[in-house]
Amino acid sequence: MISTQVKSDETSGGGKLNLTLKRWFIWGGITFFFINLLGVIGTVVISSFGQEWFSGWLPHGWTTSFYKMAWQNYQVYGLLRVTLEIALTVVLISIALGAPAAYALARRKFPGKKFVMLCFLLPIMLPPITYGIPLATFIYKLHLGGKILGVIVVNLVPAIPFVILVLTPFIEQIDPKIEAAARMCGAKTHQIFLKILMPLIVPGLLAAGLLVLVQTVALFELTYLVSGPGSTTLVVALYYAVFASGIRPYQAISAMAVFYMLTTLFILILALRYVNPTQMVTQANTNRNTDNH
Amino acid sequence: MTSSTNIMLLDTKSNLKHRFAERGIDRVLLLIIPALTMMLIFFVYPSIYGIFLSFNPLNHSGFLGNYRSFFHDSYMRRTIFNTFRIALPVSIINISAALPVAVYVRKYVKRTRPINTLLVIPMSLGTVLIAEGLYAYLNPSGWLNQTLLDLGIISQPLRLLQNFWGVIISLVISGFPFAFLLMLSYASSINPSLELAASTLGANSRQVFRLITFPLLAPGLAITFCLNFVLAFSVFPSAELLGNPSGDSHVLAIAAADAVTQKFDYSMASTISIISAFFELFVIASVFLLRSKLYSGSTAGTKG
Amino acid sequence: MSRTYDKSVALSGLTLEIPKGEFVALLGPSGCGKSTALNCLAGLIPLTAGSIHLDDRRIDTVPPEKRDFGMVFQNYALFPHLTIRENISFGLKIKKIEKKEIQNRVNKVLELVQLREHADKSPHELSGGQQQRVAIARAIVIEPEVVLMDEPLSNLDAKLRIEMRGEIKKLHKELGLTTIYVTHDQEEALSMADRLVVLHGGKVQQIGTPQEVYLNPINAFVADFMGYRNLLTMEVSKQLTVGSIEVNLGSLKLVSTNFSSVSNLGKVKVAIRPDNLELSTSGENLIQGKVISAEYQGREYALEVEVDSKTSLIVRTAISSQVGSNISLSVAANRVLVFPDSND
Repeated sequence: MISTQVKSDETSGGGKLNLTLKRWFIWGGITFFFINLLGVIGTVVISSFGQEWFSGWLPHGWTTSFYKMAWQNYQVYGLLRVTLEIALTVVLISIALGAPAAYALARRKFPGKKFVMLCFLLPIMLPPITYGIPLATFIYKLHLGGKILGVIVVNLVPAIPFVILVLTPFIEQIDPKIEAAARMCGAKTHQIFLKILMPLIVPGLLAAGLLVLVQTVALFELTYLVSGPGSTTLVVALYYAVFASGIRPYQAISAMAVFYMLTTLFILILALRYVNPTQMVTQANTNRNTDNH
Repeated sequence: MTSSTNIMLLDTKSNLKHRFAERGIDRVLLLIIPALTMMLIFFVYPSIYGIFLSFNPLNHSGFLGNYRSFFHDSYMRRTIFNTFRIALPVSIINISAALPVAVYVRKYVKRTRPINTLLVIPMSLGTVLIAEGLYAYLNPSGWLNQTLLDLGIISQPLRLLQNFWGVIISLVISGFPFAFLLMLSYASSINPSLELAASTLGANSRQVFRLITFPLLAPGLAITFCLNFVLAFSVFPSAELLGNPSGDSHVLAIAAADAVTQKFDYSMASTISIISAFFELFVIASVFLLRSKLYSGSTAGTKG
Repeated sequence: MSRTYDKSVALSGLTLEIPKGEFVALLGPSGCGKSTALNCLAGLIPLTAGSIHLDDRRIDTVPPEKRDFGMVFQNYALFPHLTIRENISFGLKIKKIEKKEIQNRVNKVLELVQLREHADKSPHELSGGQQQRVAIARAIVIEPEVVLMDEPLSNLDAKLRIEMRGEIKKLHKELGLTTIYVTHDQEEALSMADRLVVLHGGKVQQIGTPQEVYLNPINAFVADFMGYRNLLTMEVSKQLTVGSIEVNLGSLKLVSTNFSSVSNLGKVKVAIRPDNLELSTSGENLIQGKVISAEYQGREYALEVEVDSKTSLIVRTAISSQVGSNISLSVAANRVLVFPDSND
């Protein structure tokens, strides 16, 4: 016999000790991770403002002269311009090429689709170094080595598939019957495109564009292999600066790193307004999942 | 006079256009062509070209010349060992940390957006910046050692730079968020009612995890491991900046890049890339093989 | 028992005693608290006040895995990585029952739900109805003290739902397990339950046998829910005798002898079943009206009859009438149910 009655206020206990231990462990781990991360970033920021700093917790003096040095001597301004130029061009071209392809892939099944999908998936699955070296060889053969165009082309290789990967499921979610309904109302193809599809796709385009922007600014290996003076991005220049750090004052390098960090963070914050962080990571992989199963 | 509308359905021979449309081939496919062409020219072709290059050594020592000289040179051979020594532990650390945190966060944390946002930062900053920061942070006189010395945990500063430890730390910092976010999305895709059902059938939380949650997470775990491994295996700037690029951090990627920038031996560089890809594929295949073996084992062998 | 979420009360003051082997249905619209009640019983949500007892044991402080309640989920919740057989034997394996005994019980239950041939398939290979039967099998094979069912039939199509209703009832007869069944479908509840608990807004409205609730709903909400499609706000005009009152709305005047809790004159809710209205020119409570629509429903017709500009009644009758024709209806005074007009 079961009886339930309203009696007194009680909450169920038991099993709480285990949970508290787990909770401490996990939050402790995460905090430790972030403290260290903060430390790493903090070191860079503080050293960029400091004078001498060989030991101790803080530099022995403060100055912003290294920022000036970085700006002028390392031509950070020029680097920023080139980086943004390259990145924005890559974004525009990859969307212009990738969006239509995404549409076709989302709406049609056709023989050879698997091969086409493979062509678009591999550049993302493989680490850039693996295909970067033959690609760089090819770029040099085309006499594009060291030129901005070369860097743009090289960055397009992971960018176009990325756009396709982000947009295809996005378009798949748009009910194809909407287009059919528009057609039945008499709309011609370009009208359907402009008035129906575009407004619906814009959020996806924004997300894809911002993600490609972040990726291109941060991508090292490909640009490294192909760039030359005048076509280097900020991150590659930073690498060179650290590598040759004997000659240059560390603080100036830190200043440069701070410039880079601010650029990335700025784009990131912009991106996060429109994109869910989890999306950034999982887009590439949920697609791969559905393909393999 | 009455007018009538007639709709006639005639059985006509289907023309070529319709037959193509049946199989999904129509004008829409034209949209793919620009993107596909780019990929073919700048990815497929160079990759195939690279494979051929690797079989065409600069010193004309024959078909497998590059491969032979790679494996004969112990300095080169060691790169494989070095790379594995970095990539394997890093991947294992990353997924071992990511799995429990992801499962916990999914179960007990309602608002995940702040954590996700914070974790995206190290990923977007990129390996170069993290490496640059670690360069100062892990320094014998850097903050980490300072703290540990002041707290009395160590008596001498830890040597974490110019060896593979710095590289490992760098890869964990940039790799853990990636692994965590991925595992979180896999964990979230498991229907919570499955675990509720298991507990109504008498399973306590450990049993629920072992019999339901973990088997369902296994495929995601394998994929996360492989992705993390591939990223770690191709480590490059961190190894240069934080490690010992001519010593124990002489990894495959560095060897390949050196072949390009220092020896201008594109053929050898391609060879190293291919060897690198080969080992990556080997590990990926092993992981999936292992998983399918374990999988069939666990479902049959539950306590009875 | 009660359950409060922050500021909203999901369930309050549910007091119920269920004898062994009874089939109780928790009935009500979405959001009425029935699923909350079931989840509290299962231990998936903690109570904020109250207690649950099984025989003499107090169990609301016991975690779900120790309560020995079987549960059938609305979305079945079958383990996708296990075969049907493994799904069903899951609970038995946890209880560490001997292998041979497990095999026996699982086979027996597979026979009961007629899924013997599908035992080694995966859940995704089965249809919705088959998955449902697996979910039920999995819950009953552990021979629990109580079986909880959370709207198990709501994901099935109409025909399958009726079939499965019969199957569940048969299973209950055969195994005699105490069952608590949540649904929003009053037909389901009426056909399967020994007793009904009607819930609304987290509060119990009425507890009774199907006949009681069907014939004598205790308030306007229950009447509405149980299909009293004629629900009118009327006024008590006078008390005729000790046992009868007159209510009116516009030109409609009715005499009711079924008005338990109405004392004063004033506004009331009046409920009449469409099938209690008869086409007749003599009898109690004669009503004149015009047919404005007639719906053919196979066995009978549902006529909408306009009584005056603001009021119309729904009538079920085997004899149809032409749309637009004038018609005379009659209803027995004890089938005119009058309730106080409260705001739900």
